[in-house]
Amino acid sequence: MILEIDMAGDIPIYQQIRNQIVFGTATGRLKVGEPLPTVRQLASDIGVNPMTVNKAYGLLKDEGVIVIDRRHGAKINELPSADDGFINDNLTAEFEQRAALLISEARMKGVSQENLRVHLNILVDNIYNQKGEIL
Amino acid sequence: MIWIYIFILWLVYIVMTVSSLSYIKYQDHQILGVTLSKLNADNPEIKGIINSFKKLCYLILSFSMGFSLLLLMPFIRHYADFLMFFMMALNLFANWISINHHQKKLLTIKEQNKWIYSNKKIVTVDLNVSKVKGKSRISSVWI
Repeated sequence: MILEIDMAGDIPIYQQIRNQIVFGTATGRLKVGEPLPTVRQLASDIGVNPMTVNKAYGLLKDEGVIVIDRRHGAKINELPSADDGFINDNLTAEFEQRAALLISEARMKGVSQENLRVHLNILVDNIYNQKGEIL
Repeated sequence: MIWIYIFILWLVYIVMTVSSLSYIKYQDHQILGVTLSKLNADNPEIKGIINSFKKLCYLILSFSMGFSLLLLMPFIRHYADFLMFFMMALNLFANWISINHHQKKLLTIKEQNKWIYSNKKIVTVDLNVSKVKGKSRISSVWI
């Protein structure tokens, strides 16, 4: 999987690393159990401080996307089974808030309801069917 | 004494011309302070502007040097020190006008040709390559 980091963008670098690994895992470009590069190596390849990559890995670990083993480094965690994610009320509320904001933004830009539904369906299909064509 | 003044003036003019001419060197993706790609910097239109700027720099230098010889005139000699600073300021102003004029020309060409550069700085890293990097190589005994 190729990570693309925009060094001049508004999104913090650790957030970009975290987002792309989440996308990669959800779309199957990163397989379950697949090891990730070491913090130092990835930081050196991107050209950032190891603390930046460490922060991204820390976020991913907290979210359960990766597991960190002292001997074998970071690995992609197993995906939870369907419907497990929305058992947690906090997660549901957070997801709804973020999704509602995105939908509101689309509406403000003049996207029709039907068009938005079609587009969202394609995105959901792409992620769940692991086609790897999110963006 | 007056010749010392003139030599100092000439020295200042030469330094100013050299510093003006150093702006036309393609460095940090810029020519005369205008950002251009290497490909666009080699465009004949841009080369033409650079040549015109060079000629103007040499013309300003020649005129300034010639003008400074006025200090040799007997009735001006008494005001030589004041005139020296005036001439220096005049040369500085002429160089500034020249740079500004050519910068505007470059920007106009840039706009006309729509040479717009993305300010994105994307770094791509292949995670598969990154993973195996830094690991020890296979010993030559096995090859």
